[in-house]
Amino acid sequence: MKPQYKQLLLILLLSINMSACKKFVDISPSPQLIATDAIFSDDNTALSAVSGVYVQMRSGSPSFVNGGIGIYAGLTADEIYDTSSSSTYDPYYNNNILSNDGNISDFWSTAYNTIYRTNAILQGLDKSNGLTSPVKNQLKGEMKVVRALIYFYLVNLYGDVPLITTPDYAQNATAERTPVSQVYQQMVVDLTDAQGLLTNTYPSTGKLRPNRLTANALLARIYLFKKDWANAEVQSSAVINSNLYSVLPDLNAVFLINSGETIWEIAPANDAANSAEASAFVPESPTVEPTFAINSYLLNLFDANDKRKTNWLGSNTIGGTTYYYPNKFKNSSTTSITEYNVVFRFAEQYLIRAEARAQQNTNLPGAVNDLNMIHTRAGLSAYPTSLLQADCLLAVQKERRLELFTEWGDRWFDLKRWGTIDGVLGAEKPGWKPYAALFPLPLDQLTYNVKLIQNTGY
Amino acid sequence: MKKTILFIVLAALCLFFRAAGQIINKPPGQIITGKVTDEQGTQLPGATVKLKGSSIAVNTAADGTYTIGPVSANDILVISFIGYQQVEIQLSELQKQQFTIRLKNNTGVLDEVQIIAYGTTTKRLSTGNVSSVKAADIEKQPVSNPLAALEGRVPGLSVTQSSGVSGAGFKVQIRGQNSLLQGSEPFYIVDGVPFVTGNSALNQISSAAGSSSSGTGMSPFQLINPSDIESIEILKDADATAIYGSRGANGVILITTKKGKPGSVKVNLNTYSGVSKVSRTMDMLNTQQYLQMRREGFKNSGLKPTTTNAPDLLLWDTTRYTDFKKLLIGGTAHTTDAQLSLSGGNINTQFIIGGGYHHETTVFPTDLGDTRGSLHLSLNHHSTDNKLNIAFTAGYSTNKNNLTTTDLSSYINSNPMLQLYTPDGKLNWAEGGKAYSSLGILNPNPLAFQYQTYTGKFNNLNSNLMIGYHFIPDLLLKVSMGYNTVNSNEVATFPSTSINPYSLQLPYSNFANRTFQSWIIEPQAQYAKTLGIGKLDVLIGGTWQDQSSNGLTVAATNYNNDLLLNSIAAAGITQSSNSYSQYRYEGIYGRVNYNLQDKYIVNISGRRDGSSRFGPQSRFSNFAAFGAAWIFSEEKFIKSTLSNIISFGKLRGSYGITGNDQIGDYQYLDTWTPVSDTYQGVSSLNPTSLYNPSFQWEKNKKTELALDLGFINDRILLSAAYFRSLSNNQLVNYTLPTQTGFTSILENLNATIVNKGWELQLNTKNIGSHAFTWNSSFNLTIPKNQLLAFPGLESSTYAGTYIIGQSVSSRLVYHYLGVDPQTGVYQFLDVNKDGSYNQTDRNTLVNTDPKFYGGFQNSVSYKNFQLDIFFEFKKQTGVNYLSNLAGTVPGYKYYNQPVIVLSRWQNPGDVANIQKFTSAGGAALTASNLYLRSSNAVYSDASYIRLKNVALSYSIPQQLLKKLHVVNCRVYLQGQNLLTMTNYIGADPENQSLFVLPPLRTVTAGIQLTL
Repeated sequence: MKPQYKQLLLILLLSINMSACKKFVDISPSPQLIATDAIFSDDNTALSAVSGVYVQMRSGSPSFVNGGIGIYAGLTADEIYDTSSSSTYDPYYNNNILSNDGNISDFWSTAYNTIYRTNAILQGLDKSNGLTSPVKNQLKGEMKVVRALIYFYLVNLYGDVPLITTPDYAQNATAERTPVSQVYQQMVVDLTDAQGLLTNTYPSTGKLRPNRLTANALLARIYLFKKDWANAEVQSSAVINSNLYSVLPDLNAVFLINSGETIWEIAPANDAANSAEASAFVPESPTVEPTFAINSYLLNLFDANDKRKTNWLGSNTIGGTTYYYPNKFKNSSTTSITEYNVVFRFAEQYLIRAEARAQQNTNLPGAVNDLNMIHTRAGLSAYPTSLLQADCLLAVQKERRLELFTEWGDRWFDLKRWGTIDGVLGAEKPGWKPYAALFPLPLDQLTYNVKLIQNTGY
Repeated sequence: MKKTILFIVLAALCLFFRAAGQIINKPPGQIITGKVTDEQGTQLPGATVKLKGSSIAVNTAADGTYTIGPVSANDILVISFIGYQQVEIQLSELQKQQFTIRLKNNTGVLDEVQIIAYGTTTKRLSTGNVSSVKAADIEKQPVSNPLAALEGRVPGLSVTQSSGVSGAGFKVQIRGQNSLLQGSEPFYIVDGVPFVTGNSALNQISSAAGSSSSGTGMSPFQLINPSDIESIEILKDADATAIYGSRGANGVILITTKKGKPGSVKVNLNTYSGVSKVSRTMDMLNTQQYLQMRREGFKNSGLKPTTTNAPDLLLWDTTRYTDFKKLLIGGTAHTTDAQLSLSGGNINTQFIIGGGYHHETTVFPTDLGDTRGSLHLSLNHHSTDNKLNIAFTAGYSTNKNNLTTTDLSSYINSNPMLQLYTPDGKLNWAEGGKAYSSLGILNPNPLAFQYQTYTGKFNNLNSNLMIGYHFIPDLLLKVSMGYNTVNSNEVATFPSTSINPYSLQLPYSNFANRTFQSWIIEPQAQYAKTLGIGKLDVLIGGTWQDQSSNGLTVAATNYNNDLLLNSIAAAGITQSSNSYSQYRYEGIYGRVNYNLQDKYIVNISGRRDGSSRFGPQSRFSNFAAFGAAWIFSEEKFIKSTLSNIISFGKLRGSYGITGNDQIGDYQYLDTWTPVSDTYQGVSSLNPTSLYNPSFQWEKNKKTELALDLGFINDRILLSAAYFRSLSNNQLVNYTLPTQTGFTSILENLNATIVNKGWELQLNTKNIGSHAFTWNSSFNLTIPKNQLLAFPGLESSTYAGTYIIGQSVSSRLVYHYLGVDPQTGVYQFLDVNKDGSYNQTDRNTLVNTDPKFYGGFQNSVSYKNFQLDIFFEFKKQTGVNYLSNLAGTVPGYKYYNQPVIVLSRWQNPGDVANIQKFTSAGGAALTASNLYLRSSNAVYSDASYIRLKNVALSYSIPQQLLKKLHVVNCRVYLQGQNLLTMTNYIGADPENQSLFVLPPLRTVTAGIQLTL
């Protein structure tokens, strides 16, 4: 009997041999997961990571850079109002946003998720040596443009924000708010780098990923906001002189896919949907009130002959009341796809240069000519080149309001940078309080990072 | 590592040879024949008759007879049988009784078989803390989920029902929250096989039971038929759980299913049917009251209602009224349950085969419901020489849930004036030219659910085969092999008839499939031997487990035809994603138990574990525990003086280290995940999560000290335990500010949490006459949770959340001062008097941990009647209805409110507990929306005493049954959640939400028949 026991014990002993065990728990990763190192050793997977950034930017309906800023900053400014007095939009229209507002927190987390991706991709690209050089430069340049774009909207909505430029969560978790000027400095660095990395040729079909001139366009806007008029003129001139874009005579063609006026556009949902703006602004049928209607202050500013009033505003008349709505993007159909989300369009560059030139006061006729490019396109008679500086600046301000309405919060930001916000909104909106010029920081974030200090007034 | 194994094996070898040597010395003597019966003289087949100190043992035959030998006059025979008291008798004594042995019914709770990790013991001899809930208690409750049957019955176990929807989940916690953020889920084992899903939600698509992400959802335990369960053991302290090593930190729940018993084949039929209603909710305002509230709001806000800001007052039909509470959750749910089983066998082989059917509908206005069919099989065999043991168990169940896509309770605050149908009978979505949705009304037509469908089909197969062989009588080598698979198949459809036309959304469907699979192999060697004057039990074993899940979800949108919604191919756009994860786990473990004269017992257990969830450098870890018991009532000084009073006394204690690896798979890897979206045809990748390559095992140190006492022949049994479990180096999803790009990172947190407290269990036999018995059982748990240390708390993301020295569920909130009699607005204490409420003003502490909880059972039987009454109680602070109102402020924007808001402030000087109604932004809206929910006003007493269960049964007298050739027949009435006594302001104090279906009140009637 004994030998039998021994054999069995031997089997038992073998079966719990731990050297075999170590291998047992050493499993291969799920086929669904791809290691970071592997991603940045191949052109195609690196491009997929970048694709993920654009997919994330167009996600949500609407959210941050997917139509969200245009709606919410349009409400806080004097462009649109919510016709049905909804509890989601009222706090924005009435400028009494609470710090626990869902969109406030959504904007913040969406923005920083995009920033994380750009940081992680930039780090991956820097470390990698398996990529072909043109692809590596192109992707780095694109990520720097995206990062600058997101920071541009963050500082203009929230004021000082934590400046995060690495994927290191331990350090980032306790980052304090960085002064706006410093964040602008980072955007300038990123965009200057991007200009060195990108070329004027778009990397893919259409204008769905940024080229070098996109970096110029954003940098022109940033210098304008920084009141660095000379540089704003240089950057916008680079775009204007590239001869790649034109101001289209037909207003109804401006926002179509791949239009000559588009500098950069993002394709919504799997390239198979129309713009976020159209689905937010264009009413379902002529018999219902639009959710958002053009504010009377903006409506009354349009000259009767202004083609933008007829082409870029739509109207529904319900019970004797006519509601005008933004109709720049016209197609909300889910089947025929004709319009994408436009991030930058050429017309803005003329307005940037007009303002920059007028401010420098060295080339006023040039400023007026730039302004007239846009003004006359709307079917209005040209301003005389003899315009004085102050009048020219006022004309630019009015033109921006009429040309760029409901485009990504432009009016809201202009009111702030011109310093006219308290005067204008104080007169137009009862109960306006100056602190409302900045959105509150999301309440829960103050708990998770005690170094974040809330904007005054909230 | 290898050395440890070698040592264990060598030790086992030594024991073998000693044991083998003793078999040879067989004493010469005679062969005897006798009989084993119960007290009434009924023969007992299958009882074990063993010659003490030798390997000779036999089982009694079908007529209760046995033949054993050779024996000599001084030999002692040990006769044992499950359910009866063991008898040791000298051969000379036995001879005087003509070799007939009468076994006494083992009524003593102390000697009942107690299942523990990889074995059994008894209450009397155990060194650890294990509580049981037996079939007898489960059967009395008309519940479909075995977890429901545990509520209030076990000290130290907190079970909370998340929702009253059929199939919805339960939150289970043993001895408090050990982890700061991660759930503290126990480890579940069904018939020796780890339950592959644990307690996480089965559904991937949101259903009425909740979404899978919210920690509620469809309970996987819905796939286990409570009627198949013999007992559920709850293992709590280190001594009981350390052998499960890395998975024991949060306690272990063992579910053991029924096994066949020797005897002629019995057919058991049990069926019941009943009704359920919502037990406790809140009444809502009617249209008149709603209109009054809105108008008063406008008056208070100084605004004139216009068609823009008050379409409900000016454009809607103000005479319309729908009582949504009554319409949506006011119905009656019906339950039908039927169980049929066949069981029997001989001494060597026993079987049970059973089938079950359970169907329940809901209180929602629909006939749909939840149906389960189940099959259970158990086969046991042991060879006549008792050397070979085979046990096979298999359970299969299939569950179909086709309840609504959402919990309709969430719509009970819908505007009472909503126009539900257009004149032509279609769902209505607009009124007065305005779409309801454009007003910010989230669910513009609560009846849309009628057209939407959800079908979830879930299957569970659990099987285990155990083969054991006694190579020598003292040594059992066995191997246990288990396989468990759970799969799900879900479809939800949203046809155009159910979609708000103003949303521009086309019809859509969601599809989801998932399969969990797990196999486990556990070889074991058990050695039991009388060593010196004591008994030695040694167990060594190993575990190899592989678990995987494989899922597929498809979001199919842009259908152009409602009829094709069940076809993925017909969708205009599909977005699909699959998921796969694997988990492997292995361990070796051992346990040494030494029992000296049933007086002094020590128990040492240990385990070394490896888990694929950790990075290569921290994959293995060791766990161990030490337990000891002193049965002092066996000491002479007690026996001689106090035995009349103290019949049993045991002091026991344990200390040990257990662990936790309850984290997702692959978390230590830096990876990206492909997603279904493409950009310009290029597939896209998302960063999977932030990653941490160096996290380690979480460890939990448990200490327990307990005293078990029996008085007056064990008529009063008292057990008191003090426990303290210390967890540090916790593995948590550490919350991060979203500026990092993510909301959390998996990390070991250098914080120390202690869970300590008292558990008390008292069982009494108050009256025990022949015709009338009355037994009581009472349990009480007084837990305390404390964050002992958290170095760096101030600079961590938890600085604003946790407070050292307080419970981890404690929060600092604004101090509520009531409604300002002058302005009618909620006021809070402005601590730093800076004129605004901010973080520094939060200085009031609220704690939502239960102060104490427990249950009280009384069982009375008189002749053929049996009555059981069970109360569950809990003392706690919870969130009240005001927390639900924070988001929907009374008077503001179209939502209805509970009637309770009518006690609002109206005029200066009013003292009220609800602030003035408001219809516009301003101080009142901000106070309610922003500050109220962060103040102590939303916390109030949520204690309750609930008449959890009443079961009344009547057994038809035997004389009558004999004529009908029926063995047993019982008719019964059962009730669940019959009555709740509470001061809670809100719906139900258990799930504490107005917008989640509360636990239902159920009454059933049934009959049980044994043929």
